Amino acid sequence: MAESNVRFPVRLHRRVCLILTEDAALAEEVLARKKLSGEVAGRLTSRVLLIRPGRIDAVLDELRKMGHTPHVIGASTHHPAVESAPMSKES
Amino acid sequence: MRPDPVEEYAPADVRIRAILRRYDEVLLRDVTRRLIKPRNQWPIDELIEKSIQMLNNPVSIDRKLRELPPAALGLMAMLGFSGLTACTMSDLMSLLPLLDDPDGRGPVTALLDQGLIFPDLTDVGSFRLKSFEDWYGSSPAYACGMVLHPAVMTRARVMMPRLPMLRSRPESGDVASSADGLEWPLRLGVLWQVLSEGEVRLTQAGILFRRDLQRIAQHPLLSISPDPAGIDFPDAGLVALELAVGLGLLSRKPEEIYAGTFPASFTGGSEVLAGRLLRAALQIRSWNPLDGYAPSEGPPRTPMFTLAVLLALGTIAEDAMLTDADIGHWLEERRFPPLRGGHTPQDDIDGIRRLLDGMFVPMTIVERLETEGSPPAWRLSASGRYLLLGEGEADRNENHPQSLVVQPNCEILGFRQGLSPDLIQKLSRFAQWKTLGVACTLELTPESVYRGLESGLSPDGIRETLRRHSSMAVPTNVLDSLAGWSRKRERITVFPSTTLIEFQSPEELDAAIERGLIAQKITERIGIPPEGREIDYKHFRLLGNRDYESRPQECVVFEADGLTFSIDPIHSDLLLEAELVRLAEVLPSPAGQRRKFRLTPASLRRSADQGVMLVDLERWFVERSGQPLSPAARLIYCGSGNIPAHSGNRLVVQFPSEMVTEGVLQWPDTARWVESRLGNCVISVKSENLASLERDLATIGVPMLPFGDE
Repeated sequence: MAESNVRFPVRLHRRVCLILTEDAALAEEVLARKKLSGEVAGRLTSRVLLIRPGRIDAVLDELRKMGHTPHVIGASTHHPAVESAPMSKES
Repeated sequence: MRPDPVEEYAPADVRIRAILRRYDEVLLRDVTRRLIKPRNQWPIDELIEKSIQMLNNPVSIDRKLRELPPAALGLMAMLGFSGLTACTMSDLMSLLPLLDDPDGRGPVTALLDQGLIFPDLTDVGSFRLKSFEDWYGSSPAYACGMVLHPAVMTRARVMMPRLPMLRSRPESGDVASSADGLEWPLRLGVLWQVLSEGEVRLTQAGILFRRDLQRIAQHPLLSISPDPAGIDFPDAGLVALELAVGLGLLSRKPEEIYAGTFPASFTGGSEVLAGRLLRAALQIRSWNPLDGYAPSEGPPRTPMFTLAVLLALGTIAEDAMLTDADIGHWLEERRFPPLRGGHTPQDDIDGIRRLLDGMFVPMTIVERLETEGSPPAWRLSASGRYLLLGEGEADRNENHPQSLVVQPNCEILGFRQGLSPDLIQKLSRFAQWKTLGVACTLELTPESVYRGLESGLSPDGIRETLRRHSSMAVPTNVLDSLAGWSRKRERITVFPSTTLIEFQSPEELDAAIERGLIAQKITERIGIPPEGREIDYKHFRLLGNRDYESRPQECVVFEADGLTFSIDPIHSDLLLEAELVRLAEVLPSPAGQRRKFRLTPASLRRSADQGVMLVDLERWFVERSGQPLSPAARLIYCGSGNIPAHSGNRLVVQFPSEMVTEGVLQWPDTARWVESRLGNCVISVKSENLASLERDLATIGVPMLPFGDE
């Protein structure tokens, strides 16, 4: 067990918009979609895509148009499904 | 109206406390002198707190109410009956004709002076209220909002017998209505699904666009009459919309109405929901039972007309009843404002019948009685008397048999007697309503199940709901489909606005995971803290804190070449990392020193290929370095626009000063020999013209020597 009194030096990144995919191929599929690639600010890992701030609605719409049913965690839009999902106090 | 278990007075306390703070000190002391009778010169804050405490004290409220003049007490009783916690001056004025001695605006002023009702001063900036007359004299009555404290309204309701009584008929006939109270909750479930697929847009005037109006008004399930006998009930879908907004199921912004979450009243039992629906029905403003959807800029007449109809039924004895004509004639005698201008008495009577049969009978607030050869009559039901008058007890008998049948084709048959508001809200979230009736039908689809999961239900919760309420086993293929649709949702997870914690090393991230500080690893050094838990900062020492919805921070320092830059690690962020990959090439940098990068022709060409335009590059320079795009970077990105550079042999003449150069260029005798100016003091000359230029310069005393001879 790690020392519980150690304070970790960290950097905090607040109100970040991310997409986590099940595998790298799915991330590639997302990036290959022209309307989505423009909203992706970067790729943190093969499965993690960083989305531009304020573009989540467009991203969710496009993912759903592709036939995906993304699991949305936390809230930033007034989409009903998003609102009722558990919300991070940080956000 | 009786407060339901989900009622809380705290929000009203907060609101009224804020309003009292907007009172001028003289006015506040004047009002509180009557309300709480302070013995000393208490500080303002104490006066406000004591006033709030008094408003929550039933004994003190009762004593205060008994001190009121009869008309003011009558008005309070009617407001208590309504259960409303907000209304307008216009609403109050329209109720006054129902009193025996209305006394103009006197009762309203008396209630304001006594501190039993409050002007809505929520959005008035730094305004200080000096007198109530100034306030309601400055705006139309329908724009002057009033705030009522629910605790006061609950006590005021018991004063109902003091209202002028209406002559009623002795009860006769049989109860003809067989309402179960689920008609409107079912419609709200359907409406929630409709708006979940797309919000309703509002014009600047706050009315629905035609396309959305038609979408709601002509919806096959929402447009049918809520009365089983099929009474003409115009725009029933729009009534559902108003009820849903009043209930909090839909949220309203200036430009749109969108689906929210099912409020707690759906899970609190039928009686609780009926109470909330009743209150929402008294707030319907853009609809009337004669014209349907009819938003107006002036004061809406429907809310107080509806209240007056219920008041009429509330004033009669339990074993009495009234016809629509009885109520209509009573309102006419009292000169109560009609439902719409240019009306006939029969219009109001038609409106009363539609309100009762279409709205309150399905809500089980009112019962319809029929006797052969006599016109139908209405009275408050036991539920209505409980909710409006506080008489009797709530019907706690919530018996819901297993009445769902899940079929292998994913359709669900729901028999009405087994439904409850709670089951309706659950079904609305994960199954699509197809028909409403004695037996309702729904369908499970990938989209509906996804909607249910996104609304907070779990796959197990959906299965459990179906199992518990089904009279037969849920078919295996349906359970398999549910599992498959649920799994599909886990393929992509979206965090619209999460917090990431970046550690210095992978080992530290692993240690934090072990201590339960991180729930999910995103990269080898970045993790997400547990959902819904406040970050406990005692475990962390912050090196940087970046909000990604704010402007990017300057964190890049360029060197003199305009291409090489270093990164300030404190102010950099994840977006920058992504930008660097796209724009620059990493340079080797000694350990412990800032990371260095360089914009190169290859890296900028790569970024251009990826869609980065010059304007993006210019913005990136300003946002990240605080400097405009460097000339070198601009040169590399833009080149010369395919305009070639030229080379060749030229003679260069350098003058001793800029002033001399300017003169040479301006004097026609010398200017004709100059080919071009190369700098402040330098020109070029064709070799065959050099002697001529030297000759002309000599005439004015400017000698010319070869370089090296000076």
